[in-house]
Amino acid sequence: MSPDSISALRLSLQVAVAATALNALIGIPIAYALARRRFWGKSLVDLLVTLPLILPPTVVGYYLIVLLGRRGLLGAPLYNATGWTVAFTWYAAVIAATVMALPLLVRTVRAAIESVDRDLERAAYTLGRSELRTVLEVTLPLARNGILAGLVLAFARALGEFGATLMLAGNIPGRTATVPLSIYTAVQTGESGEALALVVVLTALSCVVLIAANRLGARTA
Amino acid sequence: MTSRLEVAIRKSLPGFTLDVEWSAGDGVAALFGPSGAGKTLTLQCLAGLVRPDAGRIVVDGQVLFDSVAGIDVRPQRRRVGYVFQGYALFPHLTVRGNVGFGLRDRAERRRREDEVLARLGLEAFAERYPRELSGGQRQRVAIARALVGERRLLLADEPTGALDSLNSESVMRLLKAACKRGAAAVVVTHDAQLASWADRVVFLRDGSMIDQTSPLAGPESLIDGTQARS
Repeated sequence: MSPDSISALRLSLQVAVAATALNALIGIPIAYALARRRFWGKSLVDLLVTLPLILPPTVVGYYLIVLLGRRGLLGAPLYNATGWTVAFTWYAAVIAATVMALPLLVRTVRAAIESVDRDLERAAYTLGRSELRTVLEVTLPLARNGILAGLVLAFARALGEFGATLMLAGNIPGRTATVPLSIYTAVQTGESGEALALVVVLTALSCVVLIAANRLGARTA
Repeated sequence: MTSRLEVAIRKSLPGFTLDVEWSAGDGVAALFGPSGAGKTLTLQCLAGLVRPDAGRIVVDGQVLFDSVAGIDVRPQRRRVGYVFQGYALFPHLTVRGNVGFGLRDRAERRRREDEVLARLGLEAFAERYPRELSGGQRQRVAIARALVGERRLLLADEPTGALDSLNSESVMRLLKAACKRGAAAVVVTHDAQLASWADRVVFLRDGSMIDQTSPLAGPESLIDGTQARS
């Protein structure tokens, strides 16, 4: 493999790991709230979190530009204040991958949390545990396999993200060109050997990840 | 007889309304009635797990809930020991972990766990997980977990369900012993035998209280009562 392909591979792993970590941080609380709480705007949150699953990734990417681009709703104030924009940095690739992977994580974790017997949480409350302590000591440990399965799926989705990443992060070799983007470039420029190598590596990685997810899923059921 | 427990609850759910008012003195009160009568919902209100629409709950003079005064003590602060229907043992914790879950004081914890495990004859199972226990052993773990610590109010939801479980007399003896140490106790049951040993019986049906007695003449009158009412 060429140095560009190797750096694409390294970047892809880096982005996928970061996006998975962000998914855990953002997605698990959202999944818990959707599973256990009643709050105003719940169905809106549910809708927003699920949308990336069915929208074309380029559409999600477009929204992210509107939100975070240099002239975006949040991006413009940030750019005016600091002269820095997230667009076309590797952070943008992380954000795009995070948003695209979030529905998979939230749906899997929500189902896992909903399958935890509510009386176990109630028992913890009567034994003096706060809601947060109950989540940490009872709910999440019992939903563990579902959470791991969700994280694995999120990782796989983040690893393969193309459309939204291209829109927000661009396709800059060594900076934002992840493996899927590099494959596209390689095909476009006729480097079929490079393309094949990256395709094989990505397919193998995805297979490993899916097998892991299935094992975890089987243990949950 | 002074009232240790004053309960007035109104709670509307889709298709069901609970509206009860009763009190109990020293000893064990039994909530008795057919399924769907609102017995479990009453316990959940007492524990603070369900918020009544209106009413007042007082235990030993302390107001736990008062809709008019806007008082609603959180379940964490009610010092309730709750034996759940189906026991709700933490499957990822050992018997010892379950029993000691409500104990804060680290130094005291081990001693108290051992004490209550011995009282329920569970010493040999301390390091086992709930899935490794029989139904009757789980029942005793659930009771042990509810008894441990300074509980002001003991709540037990159908505690005599399992096949090889302690019989109703032994369960009642445990609850009464806990009452002697200062707790009030409410047991939900449709087991006439168990109810017959209670110091007070509150009859529920379709969300309403239809009768309350104390103490009872004997189990026979209860059995007759259920048949007549169901």
